[in-house]
Amino acid sequence: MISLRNIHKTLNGQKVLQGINLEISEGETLVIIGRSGCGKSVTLRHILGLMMPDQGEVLFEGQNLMGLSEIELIPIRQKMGMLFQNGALFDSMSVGENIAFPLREEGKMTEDEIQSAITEALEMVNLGGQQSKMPAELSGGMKKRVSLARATVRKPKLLLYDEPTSGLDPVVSDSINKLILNLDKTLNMTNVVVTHDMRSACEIGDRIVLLHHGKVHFLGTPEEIKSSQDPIVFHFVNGISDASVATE
Amino acid sequence: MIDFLQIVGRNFFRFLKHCGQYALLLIDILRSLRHFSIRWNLVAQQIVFMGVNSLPVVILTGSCIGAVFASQIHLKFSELGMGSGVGPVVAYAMCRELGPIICGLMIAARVGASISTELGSMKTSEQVDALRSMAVYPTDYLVVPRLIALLISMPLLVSFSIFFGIGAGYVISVPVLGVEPAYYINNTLRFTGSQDVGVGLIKSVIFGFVICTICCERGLNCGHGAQGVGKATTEAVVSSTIALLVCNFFITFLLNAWMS
Ligand SMILES: Nc1ncnc2c1ncn2[C@@H]1O[C@H](COP(=O)(O)OP(=O)(O)OP(=O)(O)O)[C@@H](O)[C@H]1O
Ligand SMILES: [Mg+2]
Repeated sequence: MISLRNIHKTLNGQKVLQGINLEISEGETLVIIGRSGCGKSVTLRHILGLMMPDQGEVLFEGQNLMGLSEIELIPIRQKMGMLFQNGALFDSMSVGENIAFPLREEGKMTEDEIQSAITEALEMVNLGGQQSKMPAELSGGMKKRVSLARATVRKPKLLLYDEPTSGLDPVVSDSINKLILNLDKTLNMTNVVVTHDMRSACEIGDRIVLLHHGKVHFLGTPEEIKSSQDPIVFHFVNGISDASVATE
Repeated sequence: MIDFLQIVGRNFFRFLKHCGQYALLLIDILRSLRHFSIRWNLVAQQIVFMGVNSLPVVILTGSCIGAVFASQIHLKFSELGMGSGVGPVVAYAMCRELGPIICGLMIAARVGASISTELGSMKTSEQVDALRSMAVYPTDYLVVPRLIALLISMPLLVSFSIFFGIGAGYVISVPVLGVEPAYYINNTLRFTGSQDVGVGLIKSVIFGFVICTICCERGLNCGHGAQGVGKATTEAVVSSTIALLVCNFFITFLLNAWMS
């Protein structure tokens, strides 16, 4: 469904991506892990066409996103959704309006259908009845969940999640993992999930990819990654920093 | 010396960069108008915020400038025994210069600053990217409604400014300074014509365009974080007021050449 081919990207003189190659097939859940600052969010932005690579190409359903204008990208983005790392809720709109936004833009539903979709979406993320709050009145974790509701409400074919469970308590984290799994199963969505949480990565991922120094360092199933003897993978999976290894 | 050249050079390149970004925004606006229908509900919201809510400031500043101008003119004109000449001078100046300029400066400060702060903070908090990710063209959603709202509001605001300026001039001249009301009104009507009001309104539309596009450009291209937003806002207000005054000079020149 998506192919990233040899993506290079330099931001502010820093080589962030240095030749990423990834194939994501329809209906799978791919988890991207990697150290903080290794370019996971930047990779997601390339999939949506929010950033264009300096070199390499991004194909979505066989169509090259490189060189498409913002307007030509619109029909493609209608098939995608993204949960931003910091939520990126519209702070001038209430929670309900935020969730309704993608539906109203799409223009396929009546106002009644939109209202019931909002209620349903909020209940799905355990925030029933909070429609009228403003984003500024929400806690960090609540913002994240509203944002998740907004990203999923339109039920696009491809959903990109940038750290859906970071900053959430374990119970809510688990329910979000279940939600992702559920959307994947019932609607056969393709998901790309960035996470730091190895447990949820193994739970939801069909395949896991580890980015390191702007490249794909490891790609495999959760079992493969857990049993890998590669030092970088091992350190990451077991949460060991290089310094503590050195003193062993 | 080298330092000086460096600073000049850097600012020159910054200026060129802004010009380029500004040109790109104008192209984006045209593109957006061609591909998407105008979001009238947002235009209406913006008219309330930019137009209706600006009325008090515009009326207040318009009346102040009209009143002060009238009393200054009266000081000299009464020496010449032409007290009733205050009326046409105030009306002429309010219509052609003072009304549009004072209103333009107020709108640049009030509306321009808020446009660039709002767009700037939307940019830094990734809300603009969120719009893009939801298949919305940011220019269509953020810039075009503001532009149309300001193009509609500015002529109305300037009319108010002119009206209240002339009114305040009358109040100062006639009841306070004791000019004969019949002569005052008569002279005012005799020496100010619809083309004077027309000049004011043409200016107002151009000022609205300049303020809105410059402030949107600065906001959408702002740097990172709170500091970036602050800097963008300062630049937006400074650039749009300078652009306003420079434009005013050229418009005045061109219109006078054309009308005479
Ligand atoms: N807009 C930008 N301008 C300049 N540099 C950027 C920009 N966005 C990201 N970077 C740089 O790119 C690198 C990767 O950033 P990215 O946000 O993708 O990290 P990440 O893997 O998502 O990290 P985290 O897990 O902490 O979210 C960082 O070193 C950052 O400094
Ligand atoms: Mg990130």
